[in-house]
Amino acid sequence: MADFPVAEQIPNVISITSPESDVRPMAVGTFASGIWPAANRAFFYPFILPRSMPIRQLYVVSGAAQSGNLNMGLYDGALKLLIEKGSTSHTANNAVQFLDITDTAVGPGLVYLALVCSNTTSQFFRVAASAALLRSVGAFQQDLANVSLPSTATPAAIASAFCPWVGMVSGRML
Amino acid sequence: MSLILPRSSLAISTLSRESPLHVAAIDAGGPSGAAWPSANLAIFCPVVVPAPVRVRQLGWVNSTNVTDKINLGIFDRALAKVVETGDTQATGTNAVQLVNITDTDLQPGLYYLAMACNGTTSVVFRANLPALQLEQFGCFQEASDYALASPATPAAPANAYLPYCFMICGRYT
Repeated sequence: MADFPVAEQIPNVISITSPESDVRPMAVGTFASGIWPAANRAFFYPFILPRSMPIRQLYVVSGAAQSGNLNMGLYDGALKLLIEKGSTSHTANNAVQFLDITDTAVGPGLVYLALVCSNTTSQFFRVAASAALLRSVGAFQQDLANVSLPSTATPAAIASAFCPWVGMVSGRML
Repeated sequence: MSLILPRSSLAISTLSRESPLHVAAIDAGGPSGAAWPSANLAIFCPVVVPAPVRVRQLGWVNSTNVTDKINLGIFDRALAKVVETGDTQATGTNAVQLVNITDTDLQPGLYYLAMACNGTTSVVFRANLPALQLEQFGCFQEASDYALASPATPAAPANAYLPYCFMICGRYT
């Protein structure tokens, strides 16, 4: 009997609430619009990708107020920057803001999704999971001079009860 | 066909994807603080380590009270103790508490994360899951077992209490 190749199932979207997210057990409850905790503070959230996959977009679910700029990026397990969008105007209002990035193969293994915002006026959908619980699953933060993500992250203990609705797209979202 | 290699979480915990109660804990709304149910009670939760890991620390998350002492351990599938933190005073409310252990290499397979507390005043984060649900997924308890005796002598869970505790398997801040 001939063996037929089986197409690997690569998820179209990996969210902070997806099985690949280490934060998932803490990202529970109702996501609601909340103010970004500190200007130019970047948060890093760990994911375990079971296989290599192309990432084409990153996204954040934006809340009831927009201001200034944001940036998103992906880091590997050694905290090296793999890809970032670059400084982008925060525009979406109660909607998903998709950021097109250069298609980048990431995984398998540990990756971090990073999000930074330039101000404390912007709002994003988030659950207010305690900082201790977020730290317990490996999330961390870094305070930056602006929204440019560092080539190597320098982790600090996460201090904000802020788990935003973020994710990465392997397929394509309209 | 490419090889899909298993990967473990940064922190293998009683609530992570390596735990059979991962989905149930999420459905129950995630962990919240509650007082330890019984002095010197030890609670054991199975986890499946998917890939070889080196464990350097064990930990838990304190909630609003840190009066008592905690002992954490890892047991193998034969219920023999692999490593433990030993008698540790809980410190720091609403904070992660990590305890260094002798570096311990674990091969893929079934293990048990065990947590015991010598009082009922300390409040730690736990998942509020029915005792029958804990039992059906392989959790058990042992009364008067703060010292985490080896081998463990399992008894059916008697409390709706799955402590949130974990082993650190990678870079951690």
